Amino acid sequence: MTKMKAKRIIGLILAIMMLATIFVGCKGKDADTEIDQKPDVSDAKDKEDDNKEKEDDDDGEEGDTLFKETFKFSYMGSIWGVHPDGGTPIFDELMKRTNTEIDFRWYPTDQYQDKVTVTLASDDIPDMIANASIPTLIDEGAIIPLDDLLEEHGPNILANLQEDDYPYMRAAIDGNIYAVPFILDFPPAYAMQIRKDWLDNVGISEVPETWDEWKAAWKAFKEQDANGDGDPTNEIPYAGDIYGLLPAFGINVSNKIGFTTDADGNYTIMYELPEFRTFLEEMRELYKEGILDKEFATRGTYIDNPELEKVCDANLAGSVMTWAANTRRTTEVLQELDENAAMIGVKPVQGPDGKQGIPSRVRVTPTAAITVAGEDKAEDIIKFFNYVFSEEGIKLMSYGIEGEHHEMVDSEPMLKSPYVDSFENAREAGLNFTPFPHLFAEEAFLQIMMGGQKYDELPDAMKYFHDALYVGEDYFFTPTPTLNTEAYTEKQGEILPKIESLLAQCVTGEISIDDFYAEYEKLKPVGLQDILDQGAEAWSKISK
Amino acid sequence: MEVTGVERQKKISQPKVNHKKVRAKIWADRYMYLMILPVVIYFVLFHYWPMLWLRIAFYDYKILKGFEGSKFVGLKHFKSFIQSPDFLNIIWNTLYLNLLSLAFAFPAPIVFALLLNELAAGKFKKTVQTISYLPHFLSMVVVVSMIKNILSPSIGIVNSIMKNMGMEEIYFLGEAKYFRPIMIISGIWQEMGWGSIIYLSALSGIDPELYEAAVMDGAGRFKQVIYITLPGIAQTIIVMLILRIGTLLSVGFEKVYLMQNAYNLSVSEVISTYVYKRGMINNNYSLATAVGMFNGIISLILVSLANSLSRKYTEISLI
Repeated sequence: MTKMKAKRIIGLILAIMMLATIFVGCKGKDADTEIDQKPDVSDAKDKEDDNKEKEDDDDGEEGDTLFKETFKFSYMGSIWGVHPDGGTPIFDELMKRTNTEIDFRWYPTDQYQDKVTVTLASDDIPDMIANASIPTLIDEGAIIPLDDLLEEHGPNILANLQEDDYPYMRAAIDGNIYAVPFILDFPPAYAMQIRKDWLDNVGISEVPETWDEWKAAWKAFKEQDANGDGDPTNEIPYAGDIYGLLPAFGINVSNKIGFTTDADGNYTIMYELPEFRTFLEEMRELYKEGILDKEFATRGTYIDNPELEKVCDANLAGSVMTWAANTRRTTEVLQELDENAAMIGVKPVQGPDGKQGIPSRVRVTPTAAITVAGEDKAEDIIKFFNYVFSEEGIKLMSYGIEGEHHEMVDSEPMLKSPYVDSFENAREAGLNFTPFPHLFAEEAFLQIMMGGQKYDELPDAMKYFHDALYVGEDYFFTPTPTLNTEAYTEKQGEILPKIESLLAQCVTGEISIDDFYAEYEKLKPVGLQDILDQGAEAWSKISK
Repeated sequence: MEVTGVERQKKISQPKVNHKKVRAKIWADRYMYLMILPVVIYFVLFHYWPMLWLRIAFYDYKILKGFEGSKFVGLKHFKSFIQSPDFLNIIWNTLYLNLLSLAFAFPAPIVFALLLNELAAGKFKKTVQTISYLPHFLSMVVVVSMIKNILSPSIGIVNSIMKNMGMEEIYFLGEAKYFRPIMIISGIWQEMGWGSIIYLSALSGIDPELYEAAVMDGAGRFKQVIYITLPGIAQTIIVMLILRIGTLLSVGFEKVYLMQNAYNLSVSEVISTYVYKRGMINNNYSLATAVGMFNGIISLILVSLANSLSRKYTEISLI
């Protein structure tokens, strides 16, 4: 009986507590809903009114600083690796020069998107949000378009944008610009790479260029124990995913999704191009002959790059199309065991029809958007970034402070050690700080990449890296962006993995090419056609 | 008002609640209630309170607009999920994987606990126990990375051994038929030790005199297990089974998602990965909530069913 009573009492307490919580929830809800519905714009406005750090009436410049009174705004972004989460002398200098105070809120990249969501649901929305999904922020009504503001107050920002950058800058959904970009003006990024020592081992003296020459080299790698470990079966003549070979067939893509433009410049997906059938035929043949990586669908530059690096480091990969830096890393790792090992960059593979291509680095990344909470400060925020993109601002963000981070040599800024020694050192000091919009100069990037040394002073592995960056220069193409239209946002999670799966089945010979296309066509009525149609429509607007 | 005989009988049979006594009892047990309070608060805060937001499933919910600013769409998201061409395949994949897990992974900790129980307490037993717990604490990313490396045809040890034995190498993660066995076997390896703790604690509650009596009666080790040990932990097994049945439509998201690739998509797409792709990646919280709610309702039905069947046939039940 006592037990029974105890149970009842516990039950009663639980019930009361739950009931109380529900009421608390209801009570809180009214208040919270108010906050939910109207982000803290009014609050932000009040704060703004309090500070009212307004610049002068005309161009916002007053004396030595950009703003007459201290302009304050908050900035939320994600950092990774060695990026400092505290202040840096460079940011201090930037804020000093512009008379600005930025309340930085840095979070680790891991689960950052969740943090953004939680922040949006809170009553403490920052004035700017960086590194978040722009389409999602637009969909939530959390950010404002910047076109007019940039036109009026951001001439330096616009002056640094090139025609090819606009499709990346504009939102597919309405064609507006929503974010201030990070610009890295350094096109080389990827390179076709081959093991020079393997070529020597199989008796090929010339680096392959044409499709037939490449096939002959790959076959020799496969058959002649090119790595010399006594096992003639473990070589992977072409390691990694197959997407890196697409440009050899005239299909210029640089990801596994595959949006590109056709011969008339219309936005489409690679599977729609007539060249794709030829590509499939050749890939099936290569797979059958054991030239392609058996694990092509699970590792590669566009799928799982660390896994690709592992096979390179394990002395198993004969050739790859990946980041140019791989030449240096792989060579350094392998030379610890074999001093002749050399992964070198070569011209991109020439396909059966003589086509060649290598994707260049996408110059712009839309980085930080102004939220509805920061709408009242938007004009000044753009003015601030206009300074960041001025000649002075670019120099500060690329080379840091004179005397501390760089010295002037023959009127040119030269980064000092240790900042020039590695990207880690540079980032630690706040240079090449990608979570914050700015333009990082090509020359500064090159200086760090070369470790501050001249080409002749570089060790072999570094020379391979340098050469790999530029060897495909004549064949660079700017990849087409993937447009986040409404249909794409809604359906891509369902449709694209299926196409990827069909492609893997087709290349491995599980299904025929005709079956591949038959199954592909079946996806059109369930969403693929909408993705294509909306993408084409958006492209026609944003590529103008 | 006329009081019927039955009602009068009920009144007589119901004990009168003496509020004073109840209050005194509560006060006497106040420390017990205090102990349970954090758990109660936890459940209320993180399990019951969030239920208020389940109505997100019926809206095209926008975070900044809240409920009043978001459009009410009724069952749109439920329909979208159920009418999806992949619906049946996803349900089947989820259910099949869980049934396999129920058949193989559920008994594994029981067998392991029984085996451990047969060992004399000592260093060896403790070492085995500790080692068996370790995989449970590994991050899923690490576990999947290990699986990928071990099974890789180019750098994996399994294929290396197979090759040395003259067998042909197999790309285990590249063939859909191996996906489920890999999931189950790795799941057993990871959770068997940890899962056995509850059974070991149940085993420790069995009266040693029963074993002594069985030995006197001439029962061997095997018969002791059959007639004493298993019946002794039967209640725990059944309770765990009922709870497990409640998760038949839930599969740990991380592992499946990390193991998923273009080759095995046809068998590896389960409810949680589908929700992630359609709901979370695109911040479509309404759809994600709708699928979660659907999942929860089915699970509740399954648990209730299992519970009532168990009560009927074994007289053991959760409530």
